[in-house]
Amino acid sequence: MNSDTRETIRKVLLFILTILITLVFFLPLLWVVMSSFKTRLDLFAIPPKWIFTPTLENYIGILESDFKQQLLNSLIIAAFSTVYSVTLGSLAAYGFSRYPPKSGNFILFWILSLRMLPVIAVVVPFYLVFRALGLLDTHLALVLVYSIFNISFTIWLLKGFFDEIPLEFEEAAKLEGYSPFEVFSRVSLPLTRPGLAAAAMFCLIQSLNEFLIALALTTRVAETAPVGLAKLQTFLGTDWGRISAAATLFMIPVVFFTILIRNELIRGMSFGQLKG
Amino acid sequence: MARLVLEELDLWYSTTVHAVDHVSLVVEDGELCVLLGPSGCGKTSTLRMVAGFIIPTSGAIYLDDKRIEYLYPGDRNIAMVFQSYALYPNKTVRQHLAFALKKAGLSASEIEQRIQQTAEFMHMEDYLDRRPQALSSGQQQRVAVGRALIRRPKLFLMDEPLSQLDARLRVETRSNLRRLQQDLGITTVYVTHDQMEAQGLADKIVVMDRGRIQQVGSPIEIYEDPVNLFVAGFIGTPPMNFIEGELIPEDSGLCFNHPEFKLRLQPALLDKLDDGHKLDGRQAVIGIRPEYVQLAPEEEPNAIPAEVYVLEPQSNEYVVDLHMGEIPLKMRQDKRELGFKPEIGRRVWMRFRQNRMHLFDKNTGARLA
Amino acid sequence: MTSIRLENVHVNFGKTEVLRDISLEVADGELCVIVGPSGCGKTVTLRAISGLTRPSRGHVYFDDNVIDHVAPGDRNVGMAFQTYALYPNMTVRENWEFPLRAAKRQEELIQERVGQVTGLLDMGPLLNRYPRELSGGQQQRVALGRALVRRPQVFLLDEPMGNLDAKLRVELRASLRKLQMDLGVTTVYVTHDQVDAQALGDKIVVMDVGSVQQVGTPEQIYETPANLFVAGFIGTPRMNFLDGTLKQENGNLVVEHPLFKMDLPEEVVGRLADNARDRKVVMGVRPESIGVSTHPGPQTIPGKIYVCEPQSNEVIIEIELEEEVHLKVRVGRDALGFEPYIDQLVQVQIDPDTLHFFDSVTGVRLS
Repeated sequence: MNSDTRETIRKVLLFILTILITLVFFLPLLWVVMSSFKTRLDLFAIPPKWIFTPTLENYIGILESDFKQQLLNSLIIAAFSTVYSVTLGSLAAYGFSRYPPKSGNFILFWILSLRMLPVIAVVVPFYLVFRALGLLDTHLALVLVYSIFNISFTIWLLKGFFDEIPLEFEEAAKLEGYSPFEVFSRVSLPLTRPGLAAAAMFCLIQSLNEFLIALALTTRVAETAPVGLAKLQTFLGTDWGRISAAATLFMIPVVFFTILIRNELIRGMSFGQLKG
Repeated sequence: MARLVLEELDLWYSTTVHAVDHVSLVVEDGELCVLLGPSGCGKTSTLRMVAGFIIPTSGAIYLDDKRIEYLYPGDRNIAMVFQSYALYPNKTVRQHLAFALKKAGLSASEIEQRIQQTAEFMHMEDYLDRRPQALSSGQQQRVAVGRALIRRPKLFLMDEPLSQLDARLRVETRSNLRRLQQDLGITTVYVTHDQMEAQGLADKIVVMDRGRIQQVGSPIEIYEDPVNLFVAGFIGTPPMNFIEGELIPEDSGLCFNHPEFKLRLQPALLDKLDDGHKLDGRQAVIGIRPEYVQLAPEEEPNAIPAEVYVLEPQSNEYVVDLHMGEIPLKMRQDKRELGFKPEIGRRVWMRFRQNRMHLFDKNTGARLA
Repeated sequence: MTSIRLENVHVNFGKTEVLRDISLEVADGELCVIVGPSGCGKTVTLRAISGLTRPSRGHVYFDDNVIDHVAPGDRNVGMAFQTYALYPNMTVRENWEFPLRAAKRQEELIQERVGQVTGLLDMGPLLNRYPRELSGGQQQRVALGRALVRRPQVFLLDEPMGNLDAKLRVELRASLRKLQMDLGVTTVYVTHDQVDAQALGDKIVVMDVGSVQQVGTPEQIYETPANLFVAGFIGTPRMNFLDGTLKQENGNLVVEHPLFKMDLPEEVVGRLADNARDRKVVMGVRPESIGVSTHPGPQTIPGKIYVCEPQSNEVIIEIELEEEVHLKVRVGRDALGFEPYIDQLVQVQIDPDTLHFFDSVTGVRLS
């Protein structure tokens, strides 16, 4: 009895603590979303207003500007780069897992080292390369660059997942007449769904958030949302209402995608149970 | 209708690791052949070469006179039950069975019919739509077998399929498996390190050690006529007793001499010797199974005295650890036949049933008689 | 010089009753094996003796002293676990010294005790190895040694051989038994393996669903099991069970089964309690008490061989009397006199003397 009460108290305290920590992290987000619906006057009110009459003025303003196109660019580039990275990455990861190269982990480290490269170091070379190719200010340029970075990460992540799949799973299917590619696509790949989800999530966020390369390689046509956001800070001053509205719109796809694959992500956390 | 022939099968994993050393073997149609040996003896590598997961360094594998060692596993018409069962966590039992048949070129209705048949045959109807996690270990084992036999393969391979079950279930499943194999008449190669399992299941046992076949024979042949010290010691629990000594000719005949005792070898044993005269002075090892050691409570002529070290009752038998001086020996006998309880510390007298005794060469380990 | 006594011990976890009214005595120097399937309460019983689990009712005595309120560390018990629980960062010697240093013993005494245990367990050359450098059997000996160095008055072992392979178990079993006898320390050994239990125990306690089913010597447990559970649990292959009815016919007591009828001899009738007449029973017969021949004789039952498995100098034959009615028979190959094969028609002979009778409802032995 005694220990039961103590257990209850412990759970309640833990719950309160969780709420508090969540609030600390959530408050800035809440602030941005609230700001996007405020008038300029409400925005700078001191003390801050928690209750106010919402307005869509900021959204109307931002959607009439270039930002609409920039957001669309971001989504197109992120989507293509994600699909491209995960598809190629899973194939490569499977190869590294099942047919490890004789050179050991050297190639694998080399691939990962791409990820470690400071972006600023490659901005200028990339600019020169894409100028020579005539690909400056195109969607393709950013899709290619982002994929280079994302594939290396995807390979590392997914190789871990493939390594976890017992070899017998594949051998059993081979005996049943499935070709090596079918074994990959029908047995092993479906078992790495949590890993694919995590990889896709990561690639998407990376591609959406990237700023420096997008700034260097695009000017108008393929300009992305982070660049556009930065440009809202002009010498005439900063329109915080519009920036908040833009930031809120920018968040929506990521939130949406996360909700879509959340079951897979959660399963990924308990992936070790696969063999059970 | 399948006969498996391994011809001089050789496998090097690297220039120094000789995993399988010139293994030649014939498994007749409908036979259950058990590859038995300690871990690292090459039994699993041999099985995997038959399945097609490893290509042999040299040698040939024939299945019904068709050479198969270079064929893709899926083109060999072989099914396998894995030690881990290899059941997919994301598929139900029904989906496993369907998956196994998809490449067999059957119509949807035929597939459905086969699944029903197999489920009935293996008593799996009740959990056809469950995933492996929701099954007991015994049920998982059955699914693994069902999944292999639904394709009606020419050859069944089994890699320690019972090792995940607890002792009791293992014994029951073993006899069911034996019956099933017999009913279906599918040629089977079965790998295990458990010699009791091998004896209980096999038509033919192949004892392997260090990549080489040590002996091939029926369970009874392997048990009663082991060809060398390795096989003799590997088969049987409690294991065969070994005593090292020297063969000395005396007036009364050939004697086995040991510092603790002298044993006159009887015709029952000597008749089995190939050429008795060459054995004089040879370093030899006596091998005698625990059940062929007889105990008497009182001194008897020609009996060797010993002391009871530990007594272990086991069902209707006693397993007795004896110390003959410094030499430990085990014996095993029905309580009633024994007629007295060999209490720990008690002095008893032993006799060896020489017609069931073996003599091995101490240096080569080969059997002399 | 310690005996252990449990008196009406109950243990509850929350609302579940895991031990129900356990009374048990272990004499000084005795090796008592508690055996049962998983979840039967055997480990909890051991923990109640060690003090790691507090009984919700009942008492634990060492000799004649109640020790309910003595902390585990003060009971002077040595315990070894299935997982060995060795410290990976300490050598064998350090693992052994640790409990003595914790008890602040003098250095001289520590060295003396470690020396003794080393000799006893024959671990001399391995003293400076780390656990990961040892085989399973060696690790098991280290775990035993750690329990031994403290010179406990009681030795508690929880499946100490659970992680070892069959061959090694058989070897270690004998040396464990010998060691326990030489030390003369009162020992309680918990296992789920009935083979180990028979081989080791001076006394076997068979448990199921939180209560004691039977206490006895290995011979008593095997030859006169108290109920169907014990009869089925002890012995491999397990005892055969057949449903039947006891009836009075022409002044004789007979047992009737759909497939056969058997006169019971005087001795058996004498053993059965008087109220055993005219009731449904379960007959139990051990596999080694059944004879098999190829020719019919008086009171033989026809059957067909379902499976036969050679095992050492014996063969285990499963015989189908009719669908779903199978008997397992264990017989020496020499005694059998023919080579059995699957689907062979044979005759089964059951000696009524060897039959065990159990109440078909309660499962309790009738005798």
